[in-house]
Amino acid sequence: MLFVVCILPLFSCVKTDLVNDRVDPKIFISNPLLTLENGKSHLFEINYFNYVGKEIENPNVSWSSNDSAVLTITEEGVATGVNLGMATVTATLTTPEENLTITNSNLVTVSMSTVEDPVRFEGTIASTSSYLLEGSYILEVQDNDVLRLSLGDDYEASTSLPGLYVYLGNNPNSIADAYEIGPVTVFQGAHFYNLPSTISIYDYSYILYWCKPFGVKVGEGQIQ
Amino acid sequence: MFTCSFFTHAQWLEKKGNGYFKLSAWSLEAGQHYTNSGKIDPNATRGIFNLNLYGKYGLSDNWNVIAYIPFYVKSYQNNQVSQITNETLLKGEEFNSFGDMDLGVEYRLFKKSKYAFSTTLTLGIPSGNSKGGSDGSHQTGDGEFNQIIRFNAGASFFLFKHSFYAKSYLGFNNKTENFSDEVRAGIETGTSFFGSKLFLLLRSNMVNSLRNGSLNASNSSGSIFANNVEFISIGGEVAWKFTKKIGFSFAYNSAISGKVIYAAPSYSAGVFYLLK
Repeated sequence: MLFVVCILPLFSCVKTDLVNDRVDPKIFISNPLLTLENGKSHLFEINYFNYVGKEIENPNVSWSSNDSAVLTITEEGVATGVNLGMATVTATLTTPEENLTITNSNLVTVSMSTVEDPVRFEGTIASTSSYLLEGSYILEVQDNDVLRLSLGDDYEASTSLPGLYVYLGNNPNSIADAYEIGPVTVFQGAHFYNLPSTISIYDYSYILYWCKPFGVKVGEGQIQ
Repeated sequence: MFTCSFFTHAQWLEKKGNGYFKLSAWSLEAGQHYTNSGKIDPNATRGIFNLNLYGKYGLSDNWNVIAYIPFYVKSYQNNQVSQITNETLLKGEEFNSFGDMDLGVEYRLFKKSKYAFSTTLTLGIPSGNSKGGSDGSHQTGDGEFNQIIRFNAGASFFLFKHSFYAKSYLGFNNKTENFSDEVRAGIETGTSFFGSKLFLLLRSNMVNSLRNGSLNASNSSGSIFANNVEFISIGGEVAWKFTKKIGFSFAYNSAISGKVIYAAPSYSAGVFYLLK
């Protein structure tokens, strides 16, 4: 019996939890336009996140314009304004893992100047657990070109959660490839996080609140 | 999110020169926990295991000394692996160290016929590690020195011509380092068979937080140990004496309600020795 007691540690050891981390794959035009100057060109760029939210470089995307009399686009994504008017640019990708066809479009007006689409995301963060976590957020590029995530006055989080961290990610079920903003130090009221210049506003689809030491999601906000 | 260690030896005070000593293994593994509102939420599977020595020795018929020494404590978390790609999302980890000890004395207040009353003072020594592992979340101790004073009452009785005992206690746990103090209570009943070779007992314990401690996530200074743990647990133990002095025991315990505590049963197995 003494032997049995002493070998019991062998059975209390690190094993494996399987996590269903599948998400719908997505592509985003990461430099959309409001207007394109007639006669000028613009190279559209794509972010592609696969079925586990991992960004895949150099995806095999096909480009199209719904009105080539207004705007043409090459296979490489170079759009050229041909005539004044409006046209929709569409990026299409068929995912290699599941053979799904996904698209993203940008309505462009060919006019007298080129103006980029000033993107701003806003929404709400909601608890995905029994812990209190709620509030509104805004993700936007400031005048000084700093990308800022701002939480509103209505933000509130439970202080009973040990080790609460906030992330930006593309998979709501995992922080494996997520960007760790840092530990949550404000549990009520408005506050913000300035993000590094290496992060684009289109890089992430979710704001994730994670109880880091115990590996469990507490809340999320969907960006795009 | 620890479950508390409770002295599990179901006997009255030891007589002078007598003792009860046990080497045990204790294990708990949980993929869910009771939240601060008492609901159950999932978590990455975590486990705690310890090997411990427990001893109770009679300095005199009225004074016993008690020690609980978890000399090996392991805290671990499972690997998180993608069901889709088999990629490891979060590498598991384990951390081992000495744990928090309990040292105490028990004094017999009163004994007459089949009733006994005693008091116990237990000192919780923070000999474990409160910030183990790569992120400080693997804890083998809570990092605070606490003192528990308990009043114990017990009685023996007959039911269907069979002898039983019943014990209860009420205690106050004074905690330091901004943890909330606690009220603790418990009841236990048991009996023996086959000429006192086989012991069966059932127990229930309760911990209630007074919520007078300020420690929380917003001022924890990096500590992630949970404050205001509460629970009601039920359990049982079976013990078998091979000889007059040596035997083994097996115990099961589970929280039926709680706050900020694992929602999973614990198991322990041990070998005990009766000094007579």
